[in-house]
Amino acid sequence: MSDSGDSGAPEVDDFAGAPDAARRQFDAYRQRTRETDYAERLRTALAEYQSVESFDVGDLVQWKRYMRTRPYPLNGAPAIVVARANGHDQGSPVEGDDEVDDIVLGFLDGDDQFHMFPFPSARFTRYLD
Amino acid sequence: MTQKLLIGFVADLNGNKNAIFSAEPVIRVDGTDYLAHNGRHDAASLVAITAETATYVHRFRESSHRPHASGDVVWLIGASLRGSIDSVNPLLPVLRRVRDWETYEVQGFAWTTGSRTALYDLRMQARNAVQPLLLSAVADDMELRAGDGRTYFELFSELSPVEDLDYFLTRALYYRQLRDLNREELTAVYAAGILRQVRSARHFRKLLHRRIADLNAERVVSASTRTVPIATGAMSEYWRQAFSSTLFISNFDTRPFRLSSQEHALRMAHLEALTDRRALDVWSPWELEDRDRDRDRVGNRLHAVEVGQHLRTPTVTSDEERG
Repeated sequence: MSDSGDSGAPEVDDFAGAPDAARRQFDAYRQRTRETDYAERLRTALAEYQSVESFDVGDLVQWKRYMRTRPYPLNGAPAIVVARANGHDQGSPVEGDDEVDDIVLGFLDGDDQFHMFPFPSARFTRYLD
Repeated sequence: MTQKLLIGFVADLNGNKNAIFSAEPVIRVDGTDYLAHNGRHDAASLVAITAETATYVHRFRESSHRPHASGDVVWLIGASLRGSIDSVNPLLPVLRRVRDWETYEVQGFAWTTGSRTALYDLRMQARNAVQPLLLSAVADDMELRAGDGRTYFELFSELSPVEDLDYFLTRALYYRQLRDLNREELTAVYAAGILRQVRSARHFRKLLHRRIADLNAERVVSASTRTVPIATGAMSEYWRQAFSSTLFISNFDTRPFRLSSQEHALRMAHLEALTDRRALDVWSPWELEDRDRDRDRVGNRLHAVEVGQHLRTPTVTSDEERG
């Protein structure tokens, strides 16, 4: 895909043959990076990530702004802290993170089945009902 | 100049999980907290927060406190509506910035600040963006029942900053396509009660028929949704024969209807369709009334034609059936 952006040089198509979803995601990312407040939003994201809170078992939590990297739970939907995880690294190179999943969160799915997964606590904030 | 710091807002969040709305800001001036009516800073608009009223204030965490500009109110969006927006986000770029809104810890709300006018504009732009998606969805039965139709409908309903005629007609169209006759009728009644340009529920249904005809003309709404009712059982054969020997005419909403001597059979077939959920289309009682009246009007015209064409013998239509 040609790029009418800053460099003028044709952009390398890193996603030739990739599934449409991956291409769309990359195109959207490229679009974001061109926006004037992209750098400011990066700083905001870092501030969100760095404002770490501590949670106890039984606390309700939700994703912080910009911090949702998985489909579950939804933005603004609560999950419950089930346990503190053992701190082993669940990060995957595809996701590009080396985060430590230090809490286990539980949520009910559409069939009212309770699931538990480890998450990095730095991505979550309190939820009050 | 004394800095005005936004520290919270006053609003009832309960029951608003699927809503987007604005709230009065609470600002701190020289260590005292005030509710600022419409976000204004003049003395007349500032009401000091007392110990009794403090319980109504939603307070942001300290790291979220920010300078407050005069005229800005707090914009809030509920968790459910955020979820709906997330699910169709690529289709609604106008709403992408909702992701930038700050998370509030209570009930999953997110918030930002701005003028009431700007929020109205944002909501209207978003409604205009989602309306074509909704109209496409209602023309597709799968999309309507198992796809994103419901999400589009909720977005359209909740994002709309004003309940105007277009709002009610679009909602009624959605209910029509779902065959949810009660809600469609309620929408007609509400529209008649709220809008000055709608004289009555019957008038609203007329306007809805016109809207459907317009959409059909644009081929936006699938023609399959406007088909003749298919009755089942023994009556269908009677009906088929009745149709095969009867003159049809298309009225304003493109439904064919028949004239004169076979009216009873047609009415029976419709009643059968009404009670048979396998029917592709269902005519509600008020539609039957409308149809009767329009049939009479058009029927009279055809009657005159037939008088001329068939040895001045009028087509028989009993007064009883006409009601």
